[in-house]
Amino acid sequence: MVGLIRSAEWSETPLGDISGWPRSLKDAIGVCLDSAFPSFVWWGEDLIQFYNDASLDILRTKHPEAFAKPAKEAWSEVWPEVGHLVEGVIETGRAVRGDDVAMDPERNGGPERAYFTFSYGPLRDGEGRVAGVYVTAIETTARVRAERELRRSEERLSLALRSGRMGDWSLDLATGEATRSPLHDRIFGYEEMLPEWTYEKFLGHIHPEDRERVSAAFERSRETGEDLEFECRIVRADGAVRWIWALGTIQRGTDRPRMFGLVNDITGRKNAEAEVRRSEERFRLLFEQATDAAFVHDLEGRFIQVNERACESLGYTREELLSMKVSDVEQNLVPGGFAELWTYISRTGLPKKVEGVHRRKDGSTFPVEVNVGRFEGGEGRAILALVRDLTGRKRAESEREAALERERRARRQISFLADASRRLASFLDLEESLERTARLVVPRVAEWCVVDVLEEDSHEHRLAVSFQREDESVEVLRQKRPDEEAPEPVREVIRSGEPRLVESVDEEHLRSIATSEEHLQRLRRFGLESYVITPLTARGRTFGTITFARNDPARRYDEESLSLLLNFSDRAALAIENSRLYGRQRHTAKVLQESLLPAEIPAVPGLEVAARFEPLGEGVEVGGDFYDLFEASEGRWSVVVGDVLGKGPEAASLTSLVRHTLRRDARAEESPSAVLGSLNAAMLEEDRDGKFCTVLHANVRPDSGGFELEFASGGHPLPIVLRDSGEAEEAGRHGTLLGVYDDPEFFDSKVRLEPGDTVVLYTDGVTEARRKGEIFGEERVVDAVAACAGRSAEGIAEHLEKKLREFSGGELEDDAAILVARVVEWDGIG
Amino acid sequence: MEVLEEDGKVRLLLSGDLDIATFEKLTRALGEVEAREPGLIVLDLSNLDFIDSSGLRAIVAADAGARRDGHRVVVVEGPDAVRRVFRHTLLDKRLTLVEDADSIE
Repeated sequence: MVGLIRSAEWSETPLGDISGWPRSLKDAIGVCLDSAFPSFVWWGEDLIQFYNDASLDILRTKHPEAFAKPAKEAWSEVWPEVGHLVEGVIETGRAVRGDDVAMDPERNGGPERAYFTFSYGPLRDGEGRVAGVYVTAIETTARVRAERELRRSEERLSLALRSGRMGDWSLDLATGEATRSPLHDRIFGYEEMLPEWTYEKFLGHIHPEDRERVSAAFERSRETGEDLEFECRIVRADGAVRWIWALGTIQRGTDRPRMFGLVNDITGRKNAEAEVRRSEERFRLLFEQATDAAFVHDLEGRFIQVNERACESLGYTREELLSMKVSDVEQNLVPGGFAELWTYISRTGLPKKVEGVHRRKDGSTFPVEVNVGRFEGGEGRAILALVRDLTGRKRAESEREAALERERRARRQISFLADASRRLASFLDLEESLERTARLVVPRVAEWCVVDVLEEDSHEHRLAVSFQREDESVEVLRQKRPDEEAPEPVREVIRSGEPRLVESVDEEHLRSIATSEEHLQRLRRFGLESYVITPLTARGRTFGTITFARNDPARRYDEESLSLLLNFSDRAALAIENSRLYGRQRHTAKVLQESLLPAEIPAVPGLEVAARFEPLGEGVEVGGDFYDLFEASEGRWSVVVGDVLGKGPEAASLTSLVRHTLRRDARAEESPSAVLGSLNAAMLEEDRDGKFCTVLHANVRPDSGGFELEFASGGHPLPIVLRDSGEAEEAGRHGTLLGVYDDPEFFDSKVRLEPGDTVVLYTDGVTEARRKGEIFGEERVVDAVAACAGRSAEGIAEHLEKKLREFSGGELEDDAAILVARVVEWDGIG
Repeated sequence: MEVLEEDGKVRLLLSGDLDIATFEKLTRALGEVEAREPGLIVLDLSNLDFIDSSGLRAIVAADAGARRDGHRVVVVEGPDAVRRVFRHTLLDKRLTLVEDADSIE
């Protein structure tokens, strides 16, 4: 330092050359350099700084630049604090002190926080003026620390005591005797304070497994003087094992060294810690052993923790994964996805299930379901993701979906077939059944359908064509074409009886099947993609085809659809065949029925007669109703309406018997009841297995400008008499039905009919016409007839028929016969 | 159709329509009942909506069977639509008709 003073270029400083320095400065520097304490001399107006070697560790890196520098510059960082002190010293000439200034001197190879008390004293020149400042630093680190430590421990103590949970104690290290607070003893299980407490007593309460450790800690503290702090288990007076925390500080300096300390029961905290450890352990186990791959990652997606399963599932090692992010394995991660997830799970506290696709190290991928939740791992905000491989489930799902689709398809097919069967079951004529077949197909199994039946005799094809219009309505057209104009595939299927399936149609194929340029254009417009032609085969004969066509490339026909269409076309074939047969049968029935009715109603002078006969709606079977009108004898006409039980040929045969018997007997017998009696007898003779019939037999005779009507009923509805005035009523008495009893009762009734009067005879097909559990009934018949006053016989029959049809909604279930006879003005012989 | 049997009495409780469609069924049931030779067969028509000539035939046959085999057939009259038919055919004079099943001795 002396060398430094000598070598410095002082002439360039305000102090000038050393030779010119005042004595007082030289003295001050001398004192400074001799001092064992860090000392500084600040001299002159600029307070040029000198210092000794002891100051170097305070100055540290400031040396040597700080030497001969103005103090204000050398200490610029503390000058705001000390500057005014220094100025005060210069002004007043009085020494001042700066206590416990924190500095970072170089110690143990680095800077270390230390505290110094600086004293600033005046340096006077030869004239006694203050010309500089003498600065001495005294290190106060130890005291400052001790004071702070003390303060802290006092605070701790006071906090602990205030909180009321800590016991405090003081142990005489020489005698082992202790004084303590009541809480201290209570911690060890004594509600009442013990008369005395010793170190041995204390050790006796320490859990045997911890005793040695605690005892060693005490010994060490006693030897080194260091503070004592430990946690251990104790066995309380009541035998309960508890955890305590204890703190002790040795205080020496007195003749009897003591240790002061605190003790606290920390069982609760320990348990909580143990619980945390256990739960962490449990989590760790769960995490590791989870069948799901488990990942913990931060909000940037960086993996923090992964389990073995996670590694296996992705084919990475744990180390590899821990250097990766979620985005490296999750394919479907969208930017901002985490933020959104985090917001959700932290707001709701609930885990969230998301689906994704994971990519393995080898690049392959698999579908996953991820349960993401907030992870409370103490490492800040993190997300726990449990990932389940959905490959199996997805496969199962898609298999299930496929099975469901098959089932739905099967159900649709069954419903289609069931519907088809139902709709085709009712009796239709050929044209209707073709139309209905074509209509059933579109749009359910085809966009376009042709039902084609080859007529054997005419070599003509009868067609029903159905297709969907743009407005989605289905149009059905009837057509005919000569056999040679039918497309070759259709003719081939009729010839072979084998179906034809064309799964995919190309242009070449279109050309090959088109029958004309126009046909080709139509096929193109339709956009034919796929078609099936099935044979219509019934009773071993193929009589036509159904062509199913699609223009939707996504719904081409295949083998499976073919089997459905074949099934359908078998049903359709049967229905169409039946309708052909039905057409013939109906024709036969009509002929037979007509043979049972008078070919022509004979003209009766003065009587206007109209008949209606409705055989079973559009029936194919011969019904049991009949009527007859014949001249039984001169001037006596017999009018008969009857109903034979049953339908068909058997009924027709009985009808025939009844009709002929009546005709025969009516000639001989005059009274209607007698005619019925002999008919009854004839029927019983025939013994027709309980079959019976009902008949109304009437005779009409001209009688002085009008007619006399005499009639009897054998179980038959009575006639209705309509007067010209509009009154209408049932007339006569009921009689026993015919063919069952050998002692029937019949009653003859007579009614006189004037011109304009009418009698209406009918069968129970009229009264029993039904709608929804209600029958037409006599009252409606009477009302309908009553409404016809003034009408002709034909008009009355027409009106009654109309009412009947209105009531039953068009078709009658049973036969119904109506016979109307009206007296007109005539000049006949009376 | 319900068949209720107690103490040699068989009650056939008919419902709906008795016509050509249900005729066979009733005839068969009657055949089975008659084979058991009950003293009394009750044809209960009170729940019947409709009867046509086929229905009549079955009832007439049951009645005829009763006369032949020596048991009784009692018919519980149904609604008007059913009674009407008995009236028109005078079967009301031939059959044993009662208004309700309880009035049968």
